[in-house]
Amino acid sequence: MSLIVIFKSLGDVCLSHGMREVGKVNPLHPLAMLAVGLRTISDPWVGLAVIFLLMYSLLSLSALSWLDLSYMLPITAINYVLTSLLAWRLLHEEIVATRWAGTLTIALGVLFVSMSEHRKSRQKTLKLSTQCTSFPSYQNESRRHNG
Amino acid sequence: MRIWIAIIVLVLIDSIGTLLIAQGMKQVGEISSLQPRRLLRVVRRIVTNHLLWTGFIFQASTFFLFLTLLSWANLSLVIPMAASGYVVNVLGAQFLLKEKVTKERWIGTLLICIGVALVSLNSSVG
Repeated sequence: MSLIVIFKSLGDVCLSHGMREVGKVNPLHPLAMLAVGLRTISDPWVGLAVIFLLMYSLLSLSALSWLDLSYMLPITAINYVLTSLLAWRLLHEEIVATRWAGTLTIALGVLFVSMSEHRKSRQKTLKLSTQCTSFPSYQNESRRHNG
Repeated sequence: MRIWIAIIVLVLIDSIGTLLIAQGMKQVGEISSLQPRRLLRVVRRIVTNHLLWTGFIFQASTFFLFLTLLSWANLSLVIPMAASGYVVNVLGAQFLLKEKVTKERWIGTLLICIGVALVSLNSSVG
């Protein structure tokens, strides 16, 4: 899960950095678009971004094979927070107050889901362990009854 | 009006794509081993799964519709509206994929939805 989030955020940041190096895209001129396309393909940052985003896609596909979608979607939303932080520190983007407020709300949502699931899984393991410890005593008791 | 219809279609196509991919991956089965032979078998099952392919087509259509929408409206309008996709996805997971969606997951999803909308409200400024 952490790798999914890290790959996605790093991919987005590299892509953003790479596309800034490529320059502004003017969609009206076909020849200019071709030049931009060539520059995009040959940019090392864009290449790195594609690798990160490919890893992200493969990992999220494999995570979907064993996790609930309604769990995975909220948890991976933490990448909004990580991307904001990376954009702020590495790309030196100016982040306005509403954006920080949104980032905090997302973090709160992710924390809410992950903490409740963590609590639930702990309760489940506790229940399992008490069942396991009570099992031998139940066996002894049944043996006593049979004897 | 045209923009609103396009946003609704975008959210629906995106969610259908995600749900199809999620269901397709459940059909493929748990990927629990990194052994090359087993991975190859998984890849073969992924490539031959119809749900996954339909899901990928829906996701690709989402991307092109998103690009078209950006030429009609501002990113700061499109993304907050598209954030409602989180709720549509979880609704789909609950009713179509029959997942047990707890109250906490719903509250978290709604908070994220509001957060994504807030993040992109001033996207033209940053």
